[in-house]
Amino acid sequence: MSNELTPTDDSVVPQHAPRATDINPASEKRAEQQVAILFGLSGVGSVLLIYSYIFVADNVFIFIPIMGNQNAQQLGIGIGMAMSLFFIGIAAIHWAKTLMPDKEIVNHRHEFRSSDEDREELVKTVKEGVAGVQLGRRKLIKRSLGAAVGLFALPPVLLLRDLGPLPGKKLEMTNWKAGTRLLTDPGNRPILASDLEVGSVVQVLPAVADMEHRPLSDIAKDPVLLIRLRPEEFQLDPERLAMTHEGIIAFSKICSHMGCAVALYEQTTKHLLCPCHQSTFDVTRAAKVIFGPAARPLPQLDITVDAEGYLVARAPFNESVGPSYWERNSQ
Amino acid sequence: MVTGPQSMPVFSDKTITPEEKLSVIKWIKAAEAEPNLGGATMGRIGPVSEGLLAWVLGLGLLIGIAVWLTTRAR
Repeated sequence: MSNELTPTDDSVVPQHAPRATDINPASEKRAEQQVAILFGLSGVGSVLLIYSYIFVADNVFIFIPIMGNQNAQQLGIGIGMAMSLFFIGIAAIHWAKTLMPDKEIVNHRHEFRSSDEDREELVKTVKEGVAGVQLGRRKLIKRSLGAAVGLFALPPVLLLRDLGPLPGKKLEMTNWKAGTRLLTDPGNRPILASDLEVGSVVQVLPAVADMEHRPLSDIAKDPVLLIRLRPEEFQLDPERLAMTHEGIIAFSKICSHMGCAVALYEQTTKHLLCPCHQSTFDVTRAAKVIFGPAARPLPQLDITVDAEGYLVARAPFNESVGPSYWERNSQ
Repeated sequence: MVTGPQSMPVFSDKTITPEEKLSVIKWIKAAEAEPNLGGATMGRIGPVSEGLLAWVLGLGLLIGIAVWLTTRAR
């Protein structure tokens, strides 16, 4: 059985028509000149790049309509590089289309399946190879191989053990504790409940002993957004309502999806929007997720006022702040 | 910033003092005045204009070249 498939009917293939460059020598010469011009344009591009890089100062700006103010050196380098590469390709394409031989060639398609002799040969070779190992006979080799492979598994285990201490309870803790005052960020000023108007939003950080020298890793989970609404706009159950104060509600700013700061508050719709993946939280329903990839609402901070009227936290967050992890104690 | 028109929330002078508001404004103005050292700005309005350029002009050029590649020379 031959390994070639039968060819299709040739009558549907269009007749081979000669190109202008094949029959007309003037046309052929013109095509050659065109290819030469295109290669020349590429050369111009390369020279433009070199000239811009060496001689054009990098603080010159020229105005080009539609595009605006362009840095002259960047423009020269960019256009030069684009031209030098682009026109080599265009010249090659034009050369191939007009001047290179365009005879039709038949490409034979052979079957993929190997011949039967080749298959039997392969099976025989594999069997011989397996038989040549003779592991059964060579007990010493077998034992030493086992010992080497067994010991080889130990170094990775040892090295990976040292990946660092487990975080323990640190993932659940923030600097918010019972009685922590809310301070504006920036400014570190305490806030009176009357400072906030309906519709206003403030970012706050907890008051800790040394406000000036906190490392970023310490502040990271603390930011809280204070939002003031009219008390009748809330749709909360009584337990959550007790965590607000005169229409002021506090949520962690750290998104429960990937940890970005949920900074955008829309006053008209009462939505908090996270810029990274557009998770949207409804403030009137305790930051319930109404759009986006976040899986849980933002943790709410229990706030009240102290004796002097400044806003304080009544208790730490009742769940972990930020993105999920397996051991998270969420409700 | 003080009145919070429409969707923008209210930033009263007690939560962000007038000096802090001026700092924000100054920073925005400074950022706008920065010269563009990169490529074509296309109005500096972001992905819409850049996408328009890429999808219309860039892709148009590529499709044009692809069509030209496969046509027979006369």
